[in-house]
Order: sequence, then structure tokens, then C-alpha cells
Amino acid sequence: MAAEHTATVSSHGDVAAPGRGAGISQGMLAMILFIGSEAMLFASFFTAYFMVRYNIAENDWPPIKDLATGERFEPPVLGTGVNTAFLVFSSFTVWYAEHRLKHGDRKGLERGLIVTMLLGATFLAVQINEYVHLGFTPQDQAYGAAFYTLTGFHGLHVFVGLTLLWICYLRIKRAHDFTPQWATPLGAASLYWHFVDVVWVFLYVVVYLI
Amino acid sequence: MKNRHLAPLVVLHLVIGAITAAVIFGIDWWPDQAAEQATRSDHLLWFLVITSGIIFTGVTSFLVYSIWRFRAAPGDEEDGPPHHGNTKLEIAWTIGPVVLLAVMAVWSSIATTRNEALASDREVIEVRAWQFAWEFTYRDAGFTTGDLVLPKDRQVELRMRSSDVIHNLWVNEFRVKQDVVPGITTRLIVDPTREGTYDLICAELCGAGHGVMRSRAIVLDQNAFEAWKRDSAAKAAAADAPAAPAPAPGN
Amino acid sequence: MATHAPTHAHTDHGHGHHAPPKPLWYWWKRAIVWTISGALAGIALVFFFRWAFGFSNLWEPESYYTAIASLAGIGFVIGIGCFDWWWAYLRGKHVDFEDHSLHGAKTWRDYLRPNTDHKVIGIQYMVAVFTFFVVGGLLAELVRLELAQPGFQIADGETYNGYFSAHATVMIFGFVIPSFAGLANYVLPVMIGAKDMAFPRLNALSFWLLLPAGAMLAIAPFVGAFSAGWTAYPPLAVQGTTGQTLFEVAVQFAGASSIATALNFLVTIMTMRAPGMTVWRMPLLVWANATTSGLVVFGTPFIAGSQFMTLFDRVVGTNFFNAANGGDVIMYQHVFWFYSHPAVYIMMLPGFGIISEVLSTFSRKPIFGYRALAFSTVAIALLGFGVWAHHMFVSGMASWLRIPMMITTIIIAVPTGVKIFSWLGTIWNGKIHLKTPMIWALGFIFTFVIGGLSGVFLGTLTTDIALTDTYFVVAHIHYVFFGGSVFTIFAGTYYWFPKMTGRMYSETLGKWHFWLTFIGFNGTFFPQHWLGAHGMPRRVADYDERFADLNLIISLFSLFMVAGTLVFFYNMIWSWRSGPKAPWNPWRGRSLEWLVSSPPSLFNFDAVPQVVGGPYQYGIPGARHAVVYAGDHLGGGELTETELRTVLVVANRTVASSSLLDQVKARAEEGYWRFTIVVPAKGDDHRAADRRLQVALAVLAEAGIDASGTVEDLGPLEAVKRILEEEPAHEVMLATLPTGQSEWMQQDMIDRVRKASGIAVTRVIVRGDDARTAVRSAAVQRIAVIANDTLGDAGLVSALQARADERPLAAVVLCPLSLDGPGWTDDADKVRDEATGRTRAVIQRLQDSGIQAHGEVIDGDPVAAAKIARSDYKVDTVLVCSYRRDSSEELLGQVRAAAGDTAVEHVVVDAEAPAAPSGA
Repeated sequence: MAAEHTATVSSHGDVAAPGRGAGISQGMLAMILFIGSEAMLFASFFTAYFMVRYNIAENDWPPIKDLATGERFEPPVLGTGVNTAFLVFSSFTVWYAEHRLKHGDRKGLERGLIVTMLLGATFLAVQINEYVHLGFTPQDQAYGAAFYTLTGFHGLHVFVGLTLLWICYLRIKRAHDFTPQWATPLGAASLYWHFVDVVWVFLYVVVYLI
Repeated sequence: MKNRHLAPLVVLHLVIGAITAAVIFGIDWWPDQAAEQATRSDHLLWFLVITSGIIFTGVTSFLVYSIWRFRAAPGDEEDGPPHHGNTKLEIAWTIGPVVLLAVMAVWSSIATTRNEALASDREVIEVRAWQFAWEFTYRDAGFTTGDLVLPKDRQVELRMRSSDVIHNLWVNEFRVKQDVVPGITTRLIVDPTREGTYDLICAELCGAGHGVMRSRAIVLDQNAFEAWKRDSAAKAAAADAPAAPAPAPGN
Repeated sequence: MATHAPTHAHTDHGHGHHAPPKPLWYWWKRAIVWTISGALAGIALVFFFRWAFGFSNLWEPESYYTAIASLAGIGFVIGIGCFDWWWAYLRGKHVDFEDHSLHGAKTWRDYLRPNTDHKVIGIQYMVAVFTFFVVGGLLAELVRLELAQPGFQIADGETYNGYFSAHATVMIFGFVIPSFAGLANYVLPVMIGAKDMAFPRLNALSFWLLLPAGAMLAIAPFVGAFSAGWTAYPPLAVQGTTGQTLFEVAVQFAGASSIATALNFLVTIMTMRAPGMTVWRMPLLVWANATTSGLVVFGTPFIAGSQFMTLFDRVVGTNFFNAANGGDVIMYQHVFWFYSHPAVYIMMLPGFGIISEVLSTFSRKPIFGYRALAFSTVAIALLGFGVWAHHMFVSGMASWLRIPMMITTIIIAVPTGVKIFSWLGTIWNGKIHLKTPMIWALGFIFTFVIGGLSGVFLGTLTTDIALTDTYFVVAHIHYVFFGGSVFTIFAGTYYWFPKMTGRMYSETLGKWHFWLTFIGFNGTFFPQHWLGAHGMPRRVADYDERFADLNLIISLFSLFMVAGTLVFFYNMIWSWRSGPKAPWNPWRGRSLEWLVSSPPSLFNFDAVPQVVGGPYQYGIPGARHAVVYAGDHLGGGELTETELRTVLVVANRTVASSSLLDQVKARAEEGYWRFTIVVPAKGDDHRAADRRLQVALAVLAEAGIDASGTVEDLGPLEAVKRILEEEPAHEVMLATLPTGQSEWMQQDMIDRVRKASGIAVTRVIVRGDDARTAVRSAAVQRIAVIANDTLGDAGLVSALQARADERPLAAVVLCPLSLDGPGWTDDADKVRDEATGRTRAVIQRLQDSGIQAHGEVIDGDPVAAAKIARSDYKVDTVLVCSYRRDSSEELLGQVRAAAGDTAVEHVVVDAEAPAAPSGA
């Protein structure tokens, strides 16, 4: 059968039309689309938040937690603000890691990745600690539902991002992956990390600040 | 389009058009109109039905004609002529529907706005929906009943709340319905124009008893309505409690 | 110690040549173990949390159902093997990106295990979705049985609510949406000239995710059923029956499957179209699937979000939809319909694509208004995100939203109308062949127009208020879902049945299927318009007496559809097993899937096709959509090119390997290829590169293949550009070491060469040992080098290099080690190690100079080595190398005797300084 003599073709895609495209690899394209769908998932939860806040509560916000005392829900703006700084900084460290790789500096790559992961883990640890000390539960009115769902799903995404970065790190150490010319999985993981960061900044501003 | 197609197409249009017209006009599609809302809605509806009938006739005629006329003879393996399009035609059949739909949109906006225009002398009735029963409270008169009684030729505003899940209050002869939602008050405006007793149906899935959650909408002339209101108020005052709601088949 | 293992060609056939295929029970045993483990883990997790957080009711069932369903489902897809390759990757193991061990199907068993071949996955989908179709259809018949009379016949209110809820859910998530995924999975990669989807492993995962979803829906009735409709509005969905939880989890699995498939399609369509297939030369099915995939990727997360929120309200006790605690009941509907309206386009647009293909092929005419159809597809998708609230006109939402939503809704009628008119324009004046796919397509136009027109009534606010939530809506949705989507699914299934199964179905049975269904369908659903107009609400088992007769008639008509479905299954199963063999192109279609065999070969195409025109060029003499290179023996004679076309072979270290040369020979057999070899030797030893090239050219010349070559002091990319400037080539063959070892692969050379050259690039993987092993060919002289002390001498290597420059040669180095006495003393071992080291070093130096070499240490004297050289290695010449001072005529005489017919030469090496690395 002539099929037996078919040469294998690169996993990096079969054929492209001549003069094709912006030079985005299949892996990055897939990550961009995936991030698009994840962004929409967050959008659905933000929709819930906005409707509960503006439609039902008519912006009497944060709403009253305890009718007896008139005490209102109070998200920990300051502590989470510091935490936000950690996460934002970690986007810079992962950018730094990619940048060093382009210069062939593998040690710099590893350093950058490790610092990013530490910052991310710190963010998660602080978030979990905040959950313990928040003073309200998911069952506390629609506010609690929206708050915990938004921050909880975000935390899950941070965890996924950390996992992706860790996988890259393992492949660097064990399989000597990535070169200045080809680092698609690293690029994808770092893009995902930036996405997680951007969602958090938006969440922090919308839920904690305004 | 060549002339030889014209005659058979016209004939097909007439035949299919006749069948379509028979279906449209020969079948009794709508029950009585018992409110202004129904009248306005039905006017627009007939416009839509007739336009739909015309479009359906056209599409079906071309379809049937093409199948009949352009069928390949047995053994004919030739291709058809390589026509890729016809810009004028494509513009026409894009613009045409836009115009038609614009008319519908404007008409409907006006119709619904009028349907929901509030009259200053309207009767306000509070509606409560439960799984699986209706309760109507005439607040000014101070009583509650299980049937919705309305005055003819006078506007009624229904202010509706649900006690549990989403329901929907629907009277087909009025051609209006509205969801009844827990946590908010939804409104329905009716201007009854015809005396009679009509089915009041729950039109939003609300659980096991959804299919049997029915009541009646009764339109009385204004004098009879006022008399009924006085009677009911008196009975309620006498009993010193609102009348029990209509029997619910298991809550 | 270097060995003389036989050459190992690593051209991957994908038949799992290097390991026997695993038996079926292997996969399913794992799947069962992991599923059960997942379920148990779920139970443990929930128990632990409920205990740790002090919940009073430790065994509250719904949290357990959620955890069990989720973790068992995840366990299933892990256990069945979808994650195996990724698991190795993420642990940092060496993985082969070209691992095709799970590719293709030879027996029915290959369909019941994870498979990376899009064609297998497509059939897996189709069998699964038609199973769901049967389940959904049976549920529909239960509905109709109950509705045949007013009152409660076979079910009470709650049970009946469960029937139609399950019917809709199974049909939407289990049948319609994945059926288009299945058909496109099979057809689309072939249609665009690709060998598979962009992510075949992800493709497999998408399929297997559907099975847990289906299982959850099937199990739901046994744990309380879900009965809030497929729309699942809270508060009813939060308060209602227990099975609702399983519905919520099933939707997540089905949604994930759908999103993964859509992502795959988008990347495939964007990056893997054959050269020459611009977007305006794509078949409309590709347009349809691309836009639908966009809808899926961006819309589906909203239904996921909505189901998470109801799930949390149910299981965690949150208050998203509890009005008493600040929740917003209507908010659910906004979030839900924001997906579910685009969902109806997800269920429609691929079908529109199918109809375009079918109408054009069976009218023998180009698509009328191709660009209009393409634009209208995109317009419908984009506009489709802006109309969701037309499902909520009477919901009590903000009343200002209604008129804008009406306007956007009826605007969508315009591109939809454009499609209908364009399709009529396609068949007008054509040569219509009423084969089964065509009949379904024509029937579709009839029923879809009715459905679309009834949609206008529902999109117009005033009339919607009257008609929504009644049987008018039921009529509308079935006209567009059944008379729309399902008719197109049947059209597509019949159309591509010959391609997918290699058999023809029965036309007679196909027509019976159509007419039974068409009559049954219209008889069932047209009267429902009247029912709704006259006041019958939807989702009720009991209704007013005056509707009784019509409901009975409707129920009876529905049996026609049952009969039609039975005919369909009989036709499909019988034809698949024993139908007449299907030719490549039974319909004389023009798109790429018709230009390969039925079914296509393992990787679809033998060589990358070249698209040269649009796909619908009927009626234009000489017009071609694509050139598909095929061997004569495959029967593709009509499209075979006859002038010689050039393949540019790019290889350095691998240029003289048998893997590459076998590939070249195989390609040459097709009869119309010649080869230009370029060896990019930048930064490498040019002399060595040239020697390797000479070996390759000699081998090819001996095989009678037209080949020439040069060594360039350039990298591969620059070398390709340089050569292409001088002579055009039609394909580039890039030979590299496997991905983990190849510098070129790390530099992403395939993509870069492809972009720079604009032509097809195929890759040949050559394993390291194969690259080093001599090709067996009369053109390459095989020399045995018998040497011991001289092995470390530069003179020996120079002598061999000089010979190689005269004539391509391959060397086997035999180091005779005569040891007195027993061979395992410490001293003896030391001597042996040194000799081995010297032998290895020489071999490496020879390789580095471009001479393929291998060898071994022989326990014996030069005479013994000569014997081995002759009998084991079958060399042409034996070279005995010794220092002048050590030369012995007597020994030489014995060697000559031992070597028999094989020529023996004596190379005298002058004793010099220790070996320097071979130069140049």
C-alpha cells in the first residue's frame, strides 16, 4: 500500500498556504482560544455579580450582612491589595524568565520560573488565609455566593497556572526542553499566567475596590 | 429568467398559494378576542401570517418547480451552467426582507407600547402564584379570591409575585402572558373588551402540578363587576378573613 | 561497544509496528478501575469535608452525587487512556510527538479504544450520537404516549416532566451538537487536505468526554430524575428532583467535550489547509464549522457558569437565585440564554454547510452566491450573540431590553433568508439528481422555511407575548431542530456514508426513510402550531379536552417517524456490513474528500495536495479544485501529474541513512519525481558532509533515480532559500533526528522552512543509529578495517578518508584482541577496555568525517577477524592496518587465505604521534 510509504509530518502542523500568517504556532493559537473560553466563564460569573449588585441590590453595596447590627460585608481590601501586588509582580517574573531564555540564559529562565511559582503559591496561601478570616461564608446571601465563586474559580485557575509552570520547569530540568527558537509550551503557560493575573486585577477592582 | 419558466411558475404559485390560503383562512386559527391587547396582537399576527404565506408559497413553488423541471434525465452526467451568483438579485433579496422586517419591528413596538399604556382609572389586582394555585387579591376592596374577575372596558393592572418558583399567568383570549417571579413584582396590563369566562393557565414549568395549575378569568360588565366586588368584600369582612384560595392539588 | 545491529527505518506507519497493539480489555479494565476509584474518591472527599466542617447531615445525597459523577467521569477519561501521552510529557519524560501508536483502525476493536485518527473518532461519534438519538426518540415517544389522551395515562406530572426534560437534553447535548462534531471530524481534515486534526490526542479526549455525560443522563432517572426542562430555570431547578444534580454535571462534561473539539477545529482550519486553499476556496462546510467553533468556544462557558451556579445553590446552599437573600432569579435566564441562543446556531450552521455541499453536488452547479453564504454564516454567528433575551420577553426582565432584542432577532432573518434564496439559486437550472442526500436537503428547505417563518412570529415582541410558552413554540423548535438540524444530519450521513464506510447504502431504503419521516414529521408538528394558538401550554401532560383529538392524531403520526428511524438503522447497519463497495467518488463531487479513496488511507493523502481553484467549479471545462498526487497503483490516474517534479531533500547527518534513502526511493517509484539534495553544513565538517552526500548520490544513482546534490555552508533555512532561488521545487523533504535529539527540530525548522519557501514540507525522522549505519547498496563499498594498535593513529583515519574521497565507502572496524590465557583477569579487562575505547574513538572520528562506520572488538587474531569480515559483514575489501615495524608477510598470507575471495590490502601506517582529530 503506498500509504505505508507516507513520510511522517511534523506535529507542529501539516501544511500552510503560502505566505501564511502572523507566525503564531498551533500551540499558542490553542492557548489563546482556550483563554478566550475561560474569560467567558469568568464573564458569566461577573454577570451574576453585576446583576445581583445593580439589579437586585440597586448598588446598595456591599450589602448589609447582619440585619440586627447593620454590619455590612467587608472584603479585606488591604491584605488582598498586597496579595494583588504579588500576583502582578509574578507576571513580570515570568516575562523575565521568557526573556532570559531568548538570550540563551537557562539559569535565568529557571530562576524566573521559580520566583513566579513561589509568588503564585504565596498568593494562593494568602487567599486561603483570607477565606478563613473573611467573616462570611458562601451561604451568606447572594453576596457571599458571588464573592466566593469569583475568587474561588480564580484561585482554581491560579492553581492550574502554577501546574502549567511547574510542568514547564520539569521539562526544563528533565528533558532539557526549550531553546531560544522554540519554547511554545512555555509561552503558552506564561500567557495563561498573564490571563490569570489580568482577571485578578479586574476582580480586585470590581469586587474589592469599587 | 426565461419566458418558458414564467407560465408554469405562475401556475404553481397559484396552486400552492391556494393551498396555503386555504390553510390560513380555512382553519380557525384563533380563539375569540376578549381584550384590546388581543385585537392589536391579532392585527399584527395576520400581517405576519399573510406575509409568511406569501414567502412560503414563493419558496415552495420555486422548490417544486426546480425539482420537476431541472431533474437530470437518466444517464445525463453533464454539469449545469456555472452561474456563481447574480449581484442584483442578491441585493434585492437582502433589501426586501430588511424592509419587511423593519415594518414588523415598528408595528410591534407601537402595538406593545399601546398594549402596555397605563390608564389612570385602572383596577389594580394583586396576584399571588403558588405551586400550584392562583390567588387574586383586590386590595382596595379587601378580599382575596381564586378566580380572576375583571371589568369589561376598563383597564386592569395585575401586580404579580410568586411565593416559590417561576410561574406564568396566561389568558389566551387576551393574548397576553407574563412570568410571575419570586422576589420581584411583574406586571400585566389587560383591557378586557368581551364578557365571558376564559381559561387562566400557568404557562411556565413550575413542577409536578404545572399542567393542572389553572384558574378562570371572568370578564363582567362594569356594573356586574362592581356588584361582585361589593359582595365579595362584604363576605370577606363578615368572615373576617380572606377567602381561601382555589383548591390546590397538593402543594 | 558498537554493534552491527540491522538498520532500523523509523518511517512511522502508525500501525504500532514497534509494539503489539494492546487488547481491548486492557483499556476498559483501566477505565473501570479508574472510574470506580474516582467514585470512591468522591465519596471520601465529600465525607471528609462534611465531617471536617461540622455539617450535621453527613450523608446528604446531592453533594455525593456531584462528587461521584465528577470524579468518576474524570476517572473514566483518564483510565481509558486519553491522558497517557500527556502524563509522560508533563513528567519530563522523552516523548515522541509523532507517536502514532494509537492511530487507525484495522478491526472493530480499534473503535472501542482511544484512537487518534480523526476518521475513527468521527465514526465513534456517529455511533454514539445515533445511540443518543434512539434514547431521545424513545423519550419523545413516551411523551407522545402520555399526550395521546388528556389526563395522566402512563406517568404522573413529575415523571412526565422528567420525560421531556431528558428528551430535550439528550437530543441537544447527546445528538445534535456532537453529530456535527462527528461528521466534521471525519470529513473536514480530508476536505482541507490535512492528514489529521491539529491535536489528535485532544480530539480523542473530546469523544471520550461524551460518554460520562451520557452515562450521567442515563443514571439520573434512577436517582430522582431531572424535571425542570432542559432549560432548568431556578428556583425550580434548585428545589426540584435529585437527578437535577447529575444534569448539571453532565452539561459540564458535554460542554468541555464541545469546547475542546471547537478549539481543535479552529486551529486545524486556520493552520492546516492545503497550499492554495485561501479562505475563498474553502468549501462552505469549512466556513460553517469555523464559525460554529467560534460560537462554541466563546458561548459554551456561559451555560457552564449557569449550571455551576444552580449546582452551588443546590449543593452548597448559596443564594444566587434565592430572592429572599438577595439573589436574582432572572439573572439565570440571562446567563443561560446567552449561550443557549448561540447554541441553536451551533446546531444549525454546520447543517447549513452540509446542505451547501449536497445541493451543489447533486445539482451539478456552483453554489449560487458563495460569498454571500460565507458572509451570512459569519453574520448569523456574530448577531446570534445579541439576541438571547428574545427567549425572555415575558420573563419580567427589564422591559426596555425587549424592543432592542426584537430588532436584533429579526435582523437575523435577513442572512438566513439570503441562505434560503441562495440555495434555491443553486438548484435553479441545475441538473438535479434525486439521490437520498439530495432529497433530505430539499426536504430541509421546505421544513426549515416553515420553522424560520414561525420564528418570525416569536421574534416579534407582540406576537411572542401571545405565543411563547405554548405549543406554537414546540412546533417552531421542532421545525428548526428536526426539520432543520436533523434533516441536515441525515443528509450529511447519507452523503458521506460511502466515504466513511467504503460501502454504498440502499437508495430505496433511504427514500423510504425520508418519506416516512417527512410525513410523520409534518403530521406531528404542523398541528402543534394550531394547538399553541388555541391555548395549549407546553410542558403539560394534562390538557383541555378540546385538544384531545388532535393530540391523538399527532401521537399516531409520530409513529411514522419511529418507522422511518427503524428503516434508517437497518439501512446503515446492513449496508455497512454488506453493501456494494463504494468508489472513490460516487457523487462526482469536487472537494478534496472525494479525490481520495473510500475510506481514505491512514493519513488521508500520499502527498500534500495543491489547491488550484474553488471547490464548486461545476460546468467549467478544465476547472480543477485541487491536484492530488497519487500513485498509479492506487487508481488515481485521472489526477496524476506526468512531468517530473522536484523534491528538495534537506539533510546533513542523516543524508546517507537508509530511512531517508528508502523514502526517496519510494517516492521515486511514483514515477514523476526527481531529487535535489542540499546538505546544510554550516558549522560542520564540510568534507564529512560531502562524503555522506556522495554515499547518498551513489546509492540513488545505483537505483536509477535522478538526483543531484550540493553541500552548502549555510544553515538549513538559508540553504533551502538559496536552492529555491535557482530552481523551483514542489516539495521539501526535511530529514532530521527524532525530536528530542534534533537541533533543527528544536529550532522549529519545519515551520520556518515552510513559511520561507511557501511549499509543502514533509519530515523524515531518522533515528540516530540508523543515521550512523551504512546503507546496503552496491554503490557503497564496504570495507573491513582490521587494526589494533594502529587504531589510535591519525594516519589510519586519513587513509580511510582518502579512500572515501575516491569512492563512497562504509567501514566496519574490527579490532582483533588476542589475549593469552583466560580473558577475565583484571589485566585482561583493562586491555579489553582500552581496545574498546580505541575502536569507539576511531568509529566516532570516521563518522565525524562523513564515513559511516561501526565495529567491534573481536576475541581473536587478525585471521579470525578476516573470517568474520567475510562471513558476517560480507565486505568487499579487507584492509589490514599495521605499523611498519609490526608487519608480517606470514600473517598477511594467513589473512588472505581466511578472506577467500574478498580482496585484502595491507595498509602500512608510519608510526607517528598519537592521533589528532581528523581535520577539514
